[in-house]
Amino acid sequence: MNGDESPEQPQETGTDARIPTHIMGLDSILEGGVPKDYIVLICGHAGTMKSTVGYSIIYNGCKKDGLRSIYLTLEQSKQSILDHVEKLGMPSQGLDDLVVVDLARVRKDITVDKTKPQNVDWLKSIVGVLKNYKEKFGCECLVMDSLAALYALTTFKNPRGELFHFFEQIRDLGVTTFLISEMPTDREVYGLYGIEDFLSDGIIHLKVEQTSGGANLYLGVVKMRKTHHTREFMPLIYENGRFEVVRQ
Amino acid sequence: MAKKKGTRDRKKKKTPRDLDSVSVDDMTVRELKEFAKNLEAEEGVSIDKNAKKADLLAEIKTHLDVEVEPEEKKFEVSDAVSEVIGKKEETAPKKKMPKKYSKLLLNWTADGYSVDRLEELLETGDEKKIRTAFNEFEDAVKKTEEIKKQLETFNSNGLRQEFDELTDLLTDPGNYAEANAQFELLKKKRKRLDLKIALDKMVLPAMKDRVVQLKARLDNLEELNLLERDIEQLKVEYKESYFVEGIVSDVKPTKKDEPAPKAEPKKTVPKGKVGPMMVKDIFLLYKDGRFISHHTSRPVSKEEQAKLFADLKVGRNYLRSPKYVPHKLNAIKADKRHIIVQSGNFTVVIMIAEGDVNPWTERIVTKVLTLMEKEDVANLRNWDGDVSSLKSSGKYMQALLFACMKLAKKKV
Repeated sequence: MNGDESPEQPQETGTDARIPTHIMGLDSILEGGVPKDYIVLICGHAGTMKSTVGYSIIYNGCKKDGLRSIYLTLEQSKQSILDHVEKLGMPSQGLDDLVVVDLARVRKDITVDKTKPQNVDWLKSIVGVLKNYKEKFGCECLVMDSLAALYALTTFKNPRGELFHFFEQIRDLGVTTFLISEMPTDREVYGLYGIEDFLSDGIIHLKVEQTSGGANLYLGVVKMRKTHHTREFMPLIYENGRFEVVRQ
Repeated sequence: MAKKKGTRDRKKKKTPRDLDSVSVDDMTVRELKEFAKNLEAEEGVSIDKNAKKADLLAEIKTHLDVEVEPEEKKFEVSDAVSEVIGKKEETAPKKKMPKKYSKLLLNWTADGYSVDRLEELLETGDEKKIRTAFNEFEDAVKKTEEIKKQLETFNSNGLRQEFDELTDLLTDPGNYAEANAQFELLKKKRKRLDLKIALDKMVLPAMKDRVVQLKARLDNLEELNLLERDIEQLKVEYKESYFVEGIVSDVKPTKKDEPAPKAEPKKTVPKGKVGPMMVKDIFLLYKDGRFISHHTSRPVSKEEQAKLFADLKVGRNYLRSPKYVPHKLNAIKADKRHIIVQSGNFTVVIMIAEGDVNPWTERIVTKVLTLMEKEDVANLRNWDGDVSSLKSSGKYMQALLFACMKLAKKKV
């Protein structure tokens, strides 16, 4: 690798505008990056660096391409995330356009009793505030961490219909969205309800494979609409403050 | 016409007057010194022969340019200057004016610069002083032009007086030093105003104390850079708070959501108890919150005025809150009245109304705003704060007031 990212710069114009992931080697596989305004699942089991990959995409997008982004955390606290990414060489200081919104704190403050009927529609509320936020401050990229935490706040009567509606509302915002999804251990599906994979426009799957000497991390692009890409799983390494996929 | 020096009889022994400035350019330092010596002897001028080559060359060229053949002295070379200063009929002996000076004076006058001092200096005929003054003036003009260029894109909103003073000062490049200092001050004032505007926008309760603290630091113009950094940091926090508070206001259980200890009778408001919507006042604002106009159909007492402006402040703050939905009717309940906020593409209407909000209001406001903005679109796109440029606003706001009054008479 030569470390030069110039061939992976975003294509700004036309209908094929893309948001680069700035993961070395991945953007060339994705024909320049993730198509703009797509909803992409970043999924995998626990410990596969899903959140870090998501953060790294918007961190580099903000730093290198000036993309205004939100990292919406519903699980981990803001401080915990910032400490973690800073250790990995992604300090948030000076990045005025990358906002980490700590909804985990709000969740804690507002205990949700799922046995009782709820007047609160979190999904609608998040979409509504996102819409106003975008209009006021501008926003090109969003990472929502995680889908499972969002589901924990909501009682779905008809998951298929309600999730379809939620994905459509997100898509209408015109914000490239990365949804962090922890895969259930008992089933090979990309989301809890098993419908997230076809509701989304792309799926980046992260997995750990045990070897005799330890465990290796792999990344595979399972789905990316409007893109000719390989489906092979490639080793994902993190070195010198950046991710890189290695094609064998 | 003055003859070109290089066109003289070349058979004669070469003297300084036989050479033109082009051939002088090719000389070495030694040749130039020799040439200067000859020139001194022949023309009776004084040249600093120890000066650097460039300065020596410039001095020689000046003497070559200025000197005119005795028979040509009858010809008034200074006509160009006379034209500029309008003293053609001057009876005093004419001073010789090199073409380059007259051309410069003409150019500078055409650019709107005051050249009186230079013209006066030309009258003295002191070559050295004139040359120095022209060089200094030219340098000052260049610097002044740089400031003027920057002023073309300078946002003078809120600083009109200072801006105009500076523009006046720039008509004389001699004022460059003062103008430059004033421009630096103006830039700082612009920055302070921008920072104040940024702070004014942060109206969330969680930000209030810090905003007040930062505002107190605005007076110190020397520490604006430091303050700017702190405000940038606060902006990031503001964005986060905007999001969080928006969610909290939606999802936080209200007293209504909490289970009641015992069943309460269902609260129903009897129809017609509150009464139809009566719009008392309409405020028209620009989208960034700048005030345009106030419209009412009643006399307003001083007591009411204070209340009215408190309502305006509530409406204005609501505009910047996460709860505000653009282009839709936002109604805030306050005592017995409603503060209604609705925006168009460039403007915002804040209405203070009593009674129930009529469901037709949103449609009427949308229509009025659309028509008004269409008529004044050119001025509204980049509105400079000049209310008089928005010619249609008064007419449409009166129409809105009238429409709301008519609406009050209709049954909901």
